[in-house]
Amino acid sequence: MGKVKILPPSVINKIAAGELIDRPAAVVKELIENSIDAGAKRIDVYLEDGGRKLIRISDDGSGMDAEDLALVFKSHTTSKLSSAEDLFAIHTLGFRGEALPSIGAVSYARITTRVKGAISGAEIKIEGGRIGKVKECGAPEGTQIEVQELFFNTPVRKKFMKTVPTEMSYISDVLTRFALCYPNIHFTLRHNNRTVFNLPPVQEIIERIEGFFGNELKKHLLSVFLREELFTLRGFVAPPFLNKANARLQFIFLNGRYIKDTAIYRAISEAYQGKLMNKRYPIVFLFLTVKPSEVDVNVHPTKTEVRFRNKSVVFNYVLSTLKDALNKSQAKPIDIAAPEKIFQRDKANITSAAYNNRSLWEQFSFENTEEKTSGTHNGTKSVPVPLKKEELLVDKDVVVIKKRYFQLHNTFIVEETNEGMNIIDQHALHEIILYHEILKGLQSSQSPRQRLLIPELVELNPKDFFFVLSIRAQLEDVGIEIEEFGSNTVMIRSFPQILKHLNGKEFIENLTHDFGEEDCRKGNEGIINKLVNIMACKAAIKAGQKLDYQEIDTLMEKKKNINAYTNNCPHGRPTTLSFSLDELYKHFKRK
Amino acid sequence: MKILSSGTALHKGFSLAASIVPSSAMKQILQGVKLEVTNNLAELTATDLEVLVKYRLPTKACEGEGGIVLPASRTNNIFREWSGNEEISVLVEEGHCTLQSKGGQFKILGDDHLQFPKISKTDVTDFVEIDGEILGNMVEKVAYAVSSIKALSIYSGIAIKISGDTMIMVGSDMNRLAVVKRKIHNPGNVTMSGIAAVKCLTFLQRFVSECKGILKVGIGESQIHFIGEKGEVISQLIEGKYPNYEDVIPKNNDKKIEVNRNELLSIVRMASFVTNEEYRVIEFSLTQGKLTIFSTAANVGEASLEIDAQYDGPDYTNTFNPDYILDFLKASDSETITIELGEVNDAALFRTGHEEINVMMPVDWK
Repeated sequence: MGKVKILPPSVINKIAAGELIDRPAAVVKELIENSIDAGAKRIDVYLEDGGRKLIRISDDGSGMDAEDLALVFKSHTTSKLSSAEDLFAIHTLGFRGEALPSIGAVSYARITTRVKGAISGAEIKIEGGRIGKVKECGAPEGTQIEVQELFFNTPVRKKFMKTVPTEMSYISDVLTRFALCYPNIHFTLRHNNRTVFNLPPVQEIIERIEGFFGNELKKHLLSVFLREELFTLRGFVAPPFLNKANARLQFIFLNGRYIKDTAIYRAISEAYQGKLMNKRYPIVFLFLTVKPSEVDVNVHPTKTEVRFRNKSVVFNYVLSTLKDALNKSQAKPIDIAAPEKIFQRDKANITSAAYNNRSLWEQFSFENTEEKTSGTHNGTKSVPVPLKKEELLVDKDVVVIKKRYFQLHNTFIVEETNEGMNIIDQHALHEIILYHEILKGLQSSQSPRQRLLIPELVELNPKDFFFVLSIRAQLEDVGIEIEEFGSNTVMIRSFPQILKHLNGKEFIENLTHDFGEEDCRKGNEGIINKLVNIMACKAAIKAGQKLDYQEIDTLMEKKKNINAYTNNCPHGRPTTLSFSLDELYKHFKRK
Repeated sequence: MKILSSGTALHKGFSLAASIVPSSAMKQILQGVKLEVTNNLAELTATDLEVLVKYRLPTKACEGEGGIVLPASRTNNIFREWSGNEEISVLVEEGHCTLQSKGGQFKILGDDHLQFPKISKTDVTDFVEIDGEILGNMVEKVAYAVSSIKALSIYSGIAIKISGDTMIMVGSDMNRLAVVKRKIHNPGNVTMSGIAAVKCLTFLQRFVSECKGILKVGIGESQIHFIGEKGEVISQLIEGKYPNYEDVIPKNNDKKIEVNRNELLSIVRMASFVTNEEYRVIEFSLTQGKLTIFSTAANVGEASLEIDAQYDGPDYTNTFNPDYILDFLKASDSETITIELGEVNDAALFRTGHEEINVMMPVDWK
């Protein structure tokens, strides 16, 4: 008897589900795509337990009649294609006919639907691949799909689901992408009876961008636009000074579909070449429209991967459009890094920030008077810190200067050594010292945290909210105690003393940007390590900060104690460059 | 326009006004102090666009009307050198000013006083009265608790509440809270409140030391005014609602001790020597009749210091940031301090007999 068998449809669907439906966010994505294809103007997503217990998607789209409904859970049934040629002219988000059978194979699902204008609706159920009968029922116009107990019959996949906050973070990512691409659709997302977001339709994409990422980003965004015969590119890019530690704020949409494309990523990266520091990523929102025949979206079941007929043309278009936009943009309009300003953290210096919009003066124009141009505010100017005698050794009436150092450009410390000299990056050195001190403190439970008398509330966007909640245990491990406080808000209850000069609210708000995607995959220890890394970086003295003798002295003293691991900061940058006397002699042709 | 004044009066008045001038400003004119004569009264005005000070300069003689904006720093240096001179004459002519005194003269170029920013119409209508010195003292007792992180805008200011015959000032950085209450004269029985910038109030401390006497205080929608006989200080209020400070004052702390302020200050300061920069923690331990402060730091050593305390409750230990305790003790002028403590995670309450309260949260180890 032959060993090769044709698999039963239930097994085929489970295998397909394995590729297509890997977590609740994938279900949400597939079902929203169906709703959009059905012409919905409002899509409501309701979830319980991060979608693990229940996902319910309701839309006001065209709905289905009983005949269509009977087929939806069967494999490769779709209303969006009729022939192989159609595959090369796809105008809809879905077309493979795989999503619903895959979802139905691994959950208890139910569809209730009514075609617009029909007297009654219809309902069908599926339980782990066993399709029920279509029944007539009362239903609102449109379609409602309920998916319960996802992966109930695939325990391995079920085990791979993450915590509720992590799953919610993925789901809000999915919703964010759709909401950005379809501003005219009303999206709502509710979780465990709480509204995560409610996004009424807006005219312009930029309004959605503002809603998600704030006015500060919106007001600096540069508009991009290019129209060619087969290709249209529109969207927004942020000027280089607004950048992120990861590429999460790079949104690329092709014909209304969120995609990931290496050629476009490369074009973005090249457009910003030389404008960003290493490992910093630009913020872009690009919406491409390409004639469907010019692109193959049928590469992977999730359809985030596409194949352009002419990849290099797309690359060139994106690159030239972005370059044009960036070249037209002005230089950095806000003085973010004026070093003198950054480091006056100990002074109760409450100047402009809180008052920008509330000048004491009624009629006062800056137009008629010349601006001060003397250049005395040059933060990188070398500080006249004289050489310091660190230690004098008195030996047989001869005074020997053992070591000397001074600060250079408020950023480096130059140290004379017996062998030559060291040039030390003050921030990198302090960062590595703090990194090891914090780790040591945590390991020995000797890391003090200050309880807050008035807990601080931090309002976050849904994605950041769920991300922060997903690492709550690790935050607690490093001394940051947070609690969930209503919709999209967390409350800081205690904060590490080592971060006493930092604003807790800003620290939490920036966490998602400080975390790279790979950091989130590292598990408990990796996340704690990353947090310690961030804490050390933020608490360390900065480049451009003027240090007094005492501060340099303390830093150098600590360097002596931990010399074994001060060659690189936690980011891998060197802390110290050493020059031997021999090298110096050679440079000056003395040898 | 010409004025004649003593070296001391000019130096005092000008240096007071110049102290509010920002060291760098987008407009040159804001780096100056306006000197103006109207109705035979000489007045100095300076601002950093958040706080405005007006000071009526005592003069021996005033002629004509007009004004000039003088560069703050340079002119102040001249008046400081001449502060001992009996008489200085200031003659303002087209675009410049001639300062003349015994032994020489300066010709200083200035800006047009009419270009100096005009103040917006005030919304302050009601005023109460308080001695300037008391007001300055109140500021001192709460300013230390204010946050130095400016993004926390409302916590970078001092909340002022006026009601009945009491003025309350509150400062907090969210880890601790300082409250002080004083009596005021409130003939109109008005109630008003607002959050004033620390910069304004610390300047006010200097202002009241130069302009002694009763100050009228008024708070409007967006401004706070302090008006004295010799001048006035006006500042923009910080927008926002200050939390109800009474909610965070512990009511049920059952362990109470009374200690001598100087003794406590001394042992907390000494214990803080044996802490390191990043980790500022001391242990507070209560036993019968005794308060012991303990501190330890890796690579430094440890300290154990004790003082007598009126205490007969159960043994109690908790940890606090010594800087918070020192800030309160240094600002207080009371002879004794009452400390009220609750459970380990509860806020500690420090109070004096002078209507001053400090609430702080403990530090715990992670």
